[in-house]
Amino acid sequence: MLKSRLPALDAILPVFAVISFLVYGWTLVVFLWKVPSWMMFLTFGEILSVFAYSMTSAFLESLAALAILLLASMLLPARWMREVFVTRGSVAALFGLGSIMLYMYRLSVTGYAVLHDLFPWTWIALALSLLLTFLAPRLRFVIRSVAWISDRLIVFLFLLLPISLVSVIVVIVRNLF
Amino acid sequence: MNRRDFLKLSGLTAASLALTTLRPRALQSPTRKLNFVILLADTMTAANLSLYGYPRRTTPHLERLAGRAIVYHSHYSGGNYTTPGTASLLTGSLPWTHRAINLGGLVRRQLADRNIFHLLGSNYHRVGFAQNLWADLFLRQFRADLDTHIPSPTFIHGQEKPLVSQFFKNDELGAYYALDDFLLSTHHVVNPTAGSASMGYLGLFYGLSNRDIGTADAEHPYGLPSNGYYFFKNSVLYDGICDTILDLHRRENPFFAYFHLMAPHSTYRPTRQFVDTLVEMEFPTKQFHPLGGRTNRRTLLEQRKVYDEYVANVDAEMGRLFDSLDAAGVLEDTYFIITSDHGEFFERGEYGHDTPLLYNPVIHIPLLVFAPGQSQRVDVHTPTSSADVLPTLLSLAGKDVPNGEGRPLPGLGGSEDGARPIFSVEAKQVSSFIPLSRTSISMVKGTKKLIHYRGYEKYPDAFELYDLQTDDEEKRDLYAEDTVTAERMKEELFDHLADAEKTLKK
Repeated sequence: MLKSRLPALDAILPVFAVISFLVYGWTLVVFLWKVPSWMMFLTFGEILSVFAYSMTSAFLESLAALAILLLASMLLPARWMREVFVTRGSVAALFGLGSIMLYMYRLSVTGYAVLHDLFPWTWIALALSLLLTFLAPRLRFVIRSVAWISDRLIVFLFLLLPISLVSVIVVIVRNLF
Repeated sequence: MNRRDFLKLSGLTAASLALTTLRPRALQSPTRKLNFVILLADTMTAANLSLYGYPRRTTPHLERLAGRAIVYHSHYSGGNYTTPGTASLLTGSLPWTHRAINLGGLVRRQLADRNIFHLLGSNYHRVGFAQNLWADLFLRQFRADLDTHIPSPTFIHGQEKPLVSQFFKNDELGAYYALDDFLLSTHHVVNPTAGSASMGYLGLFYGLSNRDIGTADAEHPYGLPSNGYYFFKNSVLYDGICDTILDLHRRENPFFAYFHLMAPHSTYRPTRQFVDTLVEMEFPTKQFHPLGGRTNRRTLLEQRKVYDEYVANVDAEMGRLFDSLDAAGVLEDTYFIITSDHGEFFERGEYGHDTPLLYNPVIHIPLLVFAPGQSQRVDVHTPTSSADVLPTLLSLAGKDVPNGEGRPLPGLGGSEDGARPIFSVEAKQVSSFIPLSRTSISMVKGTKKLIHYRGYEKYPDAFELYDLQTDDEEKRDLYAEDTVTAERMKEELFDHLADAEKTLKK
């Protein structure tokens, strides 16, 4: 029953690849930006442990974002989501996560002054993401582009997932012993 | 002999007489348990305490309590902000040795076992609490040596930003750098971008939903005090500290408790009772410094005024705490130490302590030690260092004092040594693993003070020399005039620096 409500694995994987590319990409860029300052006072091992936490966090975040899309797929009629999961899932991830990242980038540049538009930004970003997600399967070139991009992003999972697995183990070990 | 000399001499004589009786009295019975409490008020400069002659009456309670304390008049922090200053206190070494020199840095790993908790040993119940998260990092680093680490968000009024690393009990330090300082952080200056966009984004909602907790009310016209992560009320905080000490005192084992409290660190938020209570005053104008800020005089005076009010607020809380502990009999078998980690600055276009400058307001800190049963005031004018606290406590506890830069304080196991140089070091822009290529170093010896600035483009390899006896405002640079003293002090400073860096290479 549950399985019949979920998209096929070969549809889930490209969407997970898009989500992971965004989430891991952001974390890695900020991590690399921070490394020079950590090198001032943290040892190599300590920086690696921060990396392990970061990769674990990115992995869990990616799973959480995917879970939201899978939940939508289970709850909505099949032709709304399950049958067009790659297109709608990828577009939702791109615009949903993208709007969050854009806001956080603005915050880093402008400081807390932008906080006053946090709520409007959220509502507008949510509405736009939903609208674009709704429209995406109607535009042939979007379907083709998203399929092309998401398919190519899968290759990163071969790198990111093993790193995440090792990182999860490191974090568990550090917190158990 | 001038008036100042006379006062010092009288103080020293009284100190010698009093101190010879103090220690034996405190330690008269070897089986009697003696406890130690360090109460550290972050950012409390000696320069703005009426206890030390500041013209505004900021510390009436400390003045009252000083009647039964050893008051150190020339006590210097190892650094000019929390990380190096606190590390010097907790390890008995100077920043060029312990290497906690960067914002949010740690003590050099090879020296981590030389912390005060470890050296006092497990006979003591060792408790640590720090509201300043950079000080709390040391408690996390020394976690194995603490019996109780009170989480920083204790005794609080409400949380402003999430702090999650406290839940990672086995890896508080790693979790702090990864989670609180990186993935969740949205500190607009130190960490402008959260390592996790979505968690940082959610954190903003958390902050917005809680920000009203700290807004101004009738009791707090400037809003509630905050450490950047949570709001607190000093009255509640000090009550919590008092209860903690009373609880520790009821136990069988002797205890050592370290409380690192945020106030009077900025943002200065005195309660209404202290707002506009201090007299308006003029303060000496000083020239801008090449490495200093360009804040106008009016802002400096305004900031100084609120800071002074906040100091008065903290002073009142300290008085209340002390009286409660005294009434409960805690002070009969407890050494109670009041100090700070660094000072604060309202001159030369600069305010705060985020500065490469090492003038006295940022490094001259208070130190009062209340020995058990002490009933008279003792004044010590010889320069001392925050690195001296650790060897003093070890000496009083009957433990071996390791070789290091700190020495037992005069009157508490140590002796007066006017020829001893006292150093403070600022080097936040240098890696903690390499020699100090860009640094400010202050050396106080007797009444003379040499400041060396090294590696700054705007002020390359500069020296300043002051005579603190005749010019305690450090306005007249004698470096070009008193070349003999300057050369002698330079040589001594370089020798000590070279020694410290030899240790680094080892």
